[in-house]
Amino acid sequence: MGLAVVELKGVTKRFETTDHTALQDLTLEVPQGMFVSVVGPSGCGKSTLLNLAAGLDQPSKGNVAVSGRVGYLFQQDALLPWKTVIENVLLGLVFRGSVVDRSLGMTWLRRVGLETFAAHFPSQLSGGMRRRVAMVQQCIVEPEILLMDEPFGALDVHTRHKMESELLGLWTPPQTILFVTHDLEEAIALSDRVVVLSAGPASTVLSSYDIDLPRPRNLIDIRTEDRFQDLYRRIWSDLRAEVLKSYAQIQ
Amino acid sequence: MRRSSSVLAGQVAIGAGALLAWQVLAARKVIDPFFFSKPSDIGARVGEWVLSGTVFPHLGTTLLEALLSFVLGVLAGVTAGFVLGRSGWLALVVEPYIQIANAIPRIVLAPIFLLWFGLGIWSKVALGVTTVFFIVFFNTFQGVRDVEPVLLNNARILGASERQLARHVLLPSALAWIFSSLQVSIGFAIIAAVVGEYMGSSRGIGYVIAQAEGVFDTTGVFAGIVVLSTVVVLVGRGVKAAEAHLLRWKNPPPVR
Repeated sequence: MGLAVVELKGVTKRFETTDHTALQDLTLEVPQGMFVSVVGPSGCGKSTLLNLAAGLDQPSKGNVAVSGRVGYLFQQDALLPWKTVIENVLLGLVFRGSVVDRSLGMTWLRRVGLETFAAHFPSQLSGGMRRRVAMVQQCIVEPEILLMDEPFGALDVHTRHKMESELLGLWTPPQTILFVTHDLEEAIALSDRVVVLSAGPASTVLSSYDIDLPRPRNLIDIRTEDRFQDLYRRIWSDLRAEVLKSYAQIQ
Repeated sequence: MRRSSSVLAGQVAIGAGALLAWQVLAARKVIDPFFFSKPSDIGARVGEWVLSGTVFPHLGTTLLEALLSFVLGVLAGVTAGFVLGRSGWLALVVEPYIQIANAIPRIVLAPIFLLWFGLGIWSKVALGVTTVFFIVFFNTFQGVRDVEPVLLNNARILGASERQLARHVLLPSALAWIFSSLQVSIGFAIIAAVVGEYMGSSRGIGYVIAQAEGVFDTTGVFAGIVVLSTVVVLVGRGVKAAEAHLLRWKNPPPVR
């Protein structure tokens, strides 16, 4: 594994208007070509962490260093509803002023099985299809670092497993992926490393586990393997306490 | 199908019933035809105007004034709405002045504009711009403010410049709001033109109505009203068609 392409050093993020400290003294390194997942209970500042890495937000304290072009798959739907599927896919090329090659867009759509929907509007697609288009929209500009914020959270469990496989199919190192989820199973199944965040407010990195499951992975069966279960138990013992803390805060 | 034809039948019945009642009441002198005229007389007058062609130069003047005030008002309104919608600071600073300006009843400006711009078309255009501007401005402002932040962030991540954000994200997003204001603005542009003409001019439908009123020609007043409302409805149809095309992404046909 190579150098760190995303590096957060002693990062604190305070939102002045709400007087809320999302992250406190957080340090995280993401090496090039690695698939790193960040897990933590809801409200632990996972999205804040990605916004900092994407440069959409600035840290109150500490340093954020990112080397390489960034793509960002948001949790919410971010396709432009007034553009067709193919226009959405080509958007990154239009913005960058590069030659807009429609056939390149069609090639990418074919990879996720949506080439026949090129002329449709996003509102005509299912949630899973819109996610695929959003994924392709990011991939076409070939970002060196791909940030993903619970990208499959809103999908039903089967669509979700299918999309996870498709994601691993589209991912080609040295591309780096920083993936945020509250689902530990998903994190272990996909990643090379799982980072556990503590419950908010003032979240920070609690522990970090290397996932040494061999690739390519069969996501259908991997969850029942002994090594998977073993890792799950170890990481869950960390995460469990944080999840309970966040429950206590909600009540 | 049955439903829409029964709706149409109901619509026709109401219109025909009202006109018939008016006609009968006026013919039997229950209401004074001198003050209320009769649908048959009004129809005949409109027909006479159209056949002789005398109405068209007046209509042309009124529409030119309305069109100019509409175009200028929309341009200014969209631009101001965009700039203030994007700059929170500037919007806060100028907000009280916009409120004050918008609180002025437009009609009291008509005499001032007549003094400033004379009896020709420009005093009417100025009056129209002051009405159209605020409607379009408030809607554009709201539309720009209303954009989902995630759409902007996503476009920024994909490399959009500020100009590209405006063109690909902000403007299309505000378009639904702008269109909802256009129907109203067209009506107001025409009203402003007519009011301006009514107060002082030598051409236009407002002038025709003022002339008819001067000689107690109720039929002429009503005929002017009929011509105006017909034009407003037709123009409104055109705007609706443009809207249906530009906002077709909102209600696309279902897949398969």
